[in-house]
Amino acid sequence: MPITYRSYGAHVSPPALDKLDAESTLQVASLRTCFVRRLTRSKSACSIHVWACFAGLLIMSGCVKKMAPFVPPPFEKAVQEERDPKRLASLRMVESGKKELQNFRLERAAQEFSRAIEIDATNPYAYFYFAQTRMRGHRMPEAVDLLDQAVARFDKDVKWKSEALTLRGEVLESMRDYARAKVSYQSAVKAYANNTRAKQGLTRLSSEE
Amino acid sequence: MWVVLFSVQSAKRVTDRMQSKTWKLASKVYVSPTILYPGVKFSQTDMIGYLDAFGYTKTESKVPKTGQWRKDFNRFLIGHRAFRDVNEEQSARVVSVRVDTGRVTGLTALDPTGLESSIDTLKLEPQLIGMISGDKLEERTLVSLNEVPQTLIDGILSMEDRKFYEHSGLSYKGILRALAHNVFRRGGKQGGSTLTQQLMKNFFLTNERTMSRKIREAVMTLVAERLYSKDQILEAYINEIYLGQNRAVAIHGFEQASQFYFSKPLPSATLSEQAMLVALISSPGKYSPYTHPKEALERRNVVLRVLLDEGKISQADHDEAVKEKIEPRGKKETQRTVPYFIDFVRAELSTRFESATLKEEGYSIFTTLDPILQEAANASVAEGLVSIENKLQSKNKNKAAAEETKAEPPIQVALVALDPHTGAIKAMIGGRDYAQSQFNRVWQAKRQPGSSVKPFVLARAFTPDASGRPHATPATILVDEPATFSYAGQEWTPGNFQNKYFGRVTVRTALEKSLNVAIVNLAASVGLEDLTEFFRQVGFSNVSPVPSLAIGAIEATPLELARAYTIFPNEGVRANPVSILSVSDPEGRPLEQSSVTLERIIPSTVAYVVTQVMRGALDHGTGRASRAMGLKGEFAGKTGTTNDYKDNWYVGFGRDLLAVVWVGYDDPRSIGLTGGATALEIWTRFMKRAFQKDTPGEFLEPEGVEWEEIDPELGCVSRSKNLLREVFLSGTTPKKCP
Repeated sequence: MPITYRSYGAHVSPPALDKLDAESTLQVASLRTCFVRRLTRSKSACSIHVWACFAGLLIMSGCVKKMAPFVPPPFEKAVQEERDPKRLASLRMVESGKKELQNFRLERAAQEFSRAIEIDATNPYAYFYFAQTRMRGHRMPEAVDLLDQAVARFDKDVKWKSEALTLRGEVLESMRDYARAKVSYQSAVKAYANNTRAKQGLTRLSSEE
Repeated sequence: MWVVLFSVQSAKRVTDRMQSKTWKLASKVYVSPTILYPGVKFSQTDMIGYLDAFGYTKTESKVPKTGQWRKDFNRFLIGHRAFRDVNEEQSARVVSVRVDTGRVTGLTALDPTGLESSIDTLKLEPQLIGMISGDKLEERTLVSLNEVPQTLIDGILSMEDRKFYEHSGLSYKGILRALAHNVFRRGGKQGGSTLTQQLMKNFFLTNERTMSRKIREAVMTLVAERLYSKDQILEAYINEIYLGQNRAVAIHGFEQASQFYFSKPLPSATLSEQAMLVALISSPGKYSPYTHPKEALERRNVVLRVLLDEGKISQADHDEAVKEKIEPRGKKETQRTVPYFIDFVRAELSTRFESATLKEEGYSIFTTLDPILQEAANASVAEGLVSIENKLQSKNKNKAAAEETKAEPPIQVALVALDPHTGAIKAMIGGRDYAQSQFNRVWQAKRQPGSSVKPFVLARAFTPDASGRPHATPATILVDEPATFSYAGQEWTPGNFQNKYFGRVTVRTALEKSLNVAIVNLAASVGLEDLTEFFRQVGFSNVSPVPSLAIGAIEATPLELARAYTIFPNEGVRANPVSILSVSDPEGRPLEQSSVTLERIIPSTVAYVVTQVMRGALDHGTGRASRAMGLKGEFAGKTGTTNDYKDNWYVGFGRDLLAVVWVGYDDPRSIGLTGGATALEIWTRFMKRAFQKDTPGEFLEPEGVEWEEIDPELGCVSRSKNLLREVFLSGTTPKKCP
């Protein structure tokens, strides 16, 4: 069961990820071995082992779920599922902007996101990725303002809203505006309780207080 | 010795001229491409206008070739040309655009097998709106030899220099033969000069028919033939030859001529059109299809006959081309409709590029201008000025006064519209007539904004201070009675419009009715120093801490006011105006790119609350005439009228479009009318056109505000009958009425 982590910018990689992955793989391998043995050996000894492995796997899944880094649904999914032509046209501009951003052509990316906003000023993704562009260009105050606007537009999508708030917190943290960063992380957790990255942000800020 | 020196000098001149940057190419200014998507407003008329403006030819072919189109009921099938977008090349492809009831309803692209697949967006070719050129006033677009249709090359050689690839530059036999040809043969004169000679003459020499000039031409011709290949010389000729006049501007080169006469790139020109262009060589004035269509047709047919005689085209091609009518359709003269914007762009660029560079290097400049909104602005201003002048004349009942008014300079106007989220300037009108006055009042005229700054007083008052509480809410009661204010040892007594006072009023009422004394009282409660600092932060300059600041005793241009106002529709974030998206060199390499600069000025909650108050000012306050004119949808704004009616303003916005209109005289004197009677009318006409068949989006309500029903006169929470639903920052709703 591979665990995928999607990076959006200034993120901290969860250190336990690789270990979790290895342990999960080990559990699956054990279970497979058990079933093979079950065919060849006595029932009772192997069945206890099987159930023990199965129980362990269940517990581990719960832990993985709790400890796995939070990721919102992929942007591509939003594009695929969009039916409003105006929003779709705007999302296509965002796609174009993301390509420019990936190639570090920041002003071109900014222009594409601006165009996306001009087509549909309610498109939250345009503001979100525009903020990332500004982050890459070290224009942090603008990134914060754009994330504010993204958050306001993600009102129904709690995962993306939480992601935008988390990113906002990280930007504010990089600007040493710890008070506002803390508020951002708290809002992120309030929006989506399983946001581990936001929780880690709060932990970091608590340790610095 | 003289011959040697002259030869050496000629060699240097020829090589200098033939190097890559020999031509002074004007920079071209474009709008950003229109993007079509299903649902966008774009009528069949708009589509036909676009195809016509860009020289697309109508065809009956099932699948149009590049540069052609056909229409089946509501479906346009277009062989869309490749073109350069702001940042990249868009490749040529066949697309289908369905247009119904003024909107695009479907977009598909066809692959080479004819299979259609839906596409979400289609970018149209960007419209050229102007040139930045030098004093010599030439228009030229370079083309490489391999882009030139072979039949055009054949036509040039057949008509002007059949032995081009054989001779050494000077054709002595040709000269003699031409003389004999001109005297004894019918039709079709041949010049005595080779292409190389013509090129040298165009580069360096005059048209004088003297022996010395002929000798100089001969020497330069021989030098050029020695130093450059035939193809290089031919390419230079194709890009240099003079082919007509566009008013004061000379048209050089076949590519530019193709654009000028047929609104299409040279590779897309038909055989008939190519023959027409070749026909111009001997005398562009005499054979211009614009001024001498009959002679142009005859000369074109001569070219076609020569091509046929020399076996360069088939009989069938010849016959088809001869039947084709010559329909010159030069590009729309949009430069005349956006001269103020072009000047503004030039001024912006001059801070980063040398003037000579802009005029000579052939840059492509993509701008933010929206041609549809610009047209809306042009029409609104034209109609609005007529209406305003009628109002002025009807005010002057005395005939003598009316006659005096006619002799005075006319009333002036400025309009600027921009997208408040990105700062992109969408339309600009700097005055009523560019030919009369090139002074751009949008960004060069500093005038007093008057009451149009009052929303900023509210914005500061509604923003929580360090204690977390605002100075006021929309329901806070203000005193509106005659009063004298003291500051810095001085006294000042403001007055209300028509000396009307309303006693105790809410902040909302004070803004809706634009009550000076009440607003000054509000400013005093905030503190003048604090308010002054806020005005500076918003973007106003030369601001002093005086009470009259609250009613607009500062100076600002319409563009500065527009910039400041973006904070309201853009959720508290100011967007700096942007006019230029990118500048690239003739090869398409980017030289400069720019995008919006943003800065948060006030919380989004405060921006929303002030916007809601301004909605009331428009709906039933000093801006209510806009509703009487039929404006529908969510809009907010504020009138502005200065002392003695010298400046009339209206600043208003929907969620996605903001516009500022100023009306006044250049030499400040009374108009005699208010902003609500002049600037508001132009603004309303513009917004109605901009949102024709569309509704503006709703203002986004942020978290952190709440609505409460209050008594509109007492400003307290009430459950009585006469209620107003008012918005507040969360936790600042007023107490219940006693």
